[in-house]
Amino acid sequence: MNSNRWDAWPAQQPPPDFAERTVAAVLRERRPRRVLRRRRSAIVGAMAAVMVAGAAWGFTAWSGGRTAPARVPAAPPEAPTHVVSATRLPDAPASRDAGSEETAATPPPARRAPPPPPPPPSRPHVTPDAGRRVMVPRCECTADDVLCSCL
Amino acid sequence: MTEPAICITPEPQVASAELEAALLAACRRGDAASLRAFVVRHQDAVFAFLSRTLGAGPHVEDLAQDVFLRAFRALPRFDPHGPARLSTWLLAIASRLAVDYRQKRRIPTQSLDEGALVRASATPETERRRLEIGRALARAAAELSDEQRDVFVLAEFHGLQMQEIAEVLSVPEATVKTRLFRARERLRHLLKDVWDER
Repeated sequence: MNSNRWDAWPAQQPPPDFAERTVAAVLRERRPRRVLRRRRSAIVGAMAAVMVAGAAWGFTAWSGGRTAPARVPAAPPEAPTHVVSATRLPDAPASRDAGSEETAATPPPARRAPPPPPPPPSRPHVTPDAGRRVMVPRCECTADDVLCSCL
Repeated sequence: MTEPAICITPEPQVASAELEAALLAACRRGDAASLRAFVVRHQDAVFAFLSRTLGAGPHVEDLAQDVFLRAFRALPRFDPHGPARLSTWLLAIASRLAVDYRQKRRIPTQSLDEGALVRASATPETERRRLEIGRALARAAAELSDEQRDVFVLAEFHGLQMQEIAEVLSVPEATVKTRLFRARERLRHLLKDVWDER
């Protein structure tokens, strides 16, 4: 059977502006996709940044709590040092003079010595009495005794 | 009686591989002129396939546009050096769309605009005869099952080999052969009078 016989079967022809309309549809479809992709990548980027920042903050807080030395109670604020001038003002009231003298009499607070370094953790703490039995003297006092040396 | 004029559906011209690859690359970049060239090159084949398998009508244009939209979406995945030709790949998309469309609704077909089919060089008598044959062919093809018609159209009008038809329709090659044989036999029987008249 010859193929030419079938060619009499008509086919629908595309309209003249079909290509233009199709290309316009393709370009229309591509544009919002690009915008959406850009918007989506911005959101994903922001979320990733927040997650990284949160993770960094959490790690810092966690590792700081574990490795930092025990918190030393804050030292009381040092007493304000009053500088007493050698030359006394003639019109200063007596009560103020007394206070100044008292302040001057008090010795300056001793400087806090730096805490001793902690012993190395691997070395066990050995005392001279380690392993010895502790003998506690028996108490001979009675209830009537007014003074008891055992206590 | 003179031989009726033949309305040959223009097939996309075979371009060199380099030209085709360059056109595809430009289409992937979204170049409007290349997209248009791509559509112009393949639109006749897509329209011919859809109108012959589904019947002519406004749905053909909608489906053809859908074919190209899907093709452009899937273009980055198409391998020009692969086994499938670009035209075969497009026809595969079109056939899948045709199958979906058939499943969704009954298609309101309409007769083709006969005036549009008249060739300037043909005599009125020749044209009348050609149109008669065309109508008889369309009626006979409508008697085929959808599967037989798809195979027949791809083989007779688009020149696809059995293996290519099998790829396009996603069926075994043996099935293609059986369908094509039965379609031809049935059409031969239905068009016996028309051929004898010729």
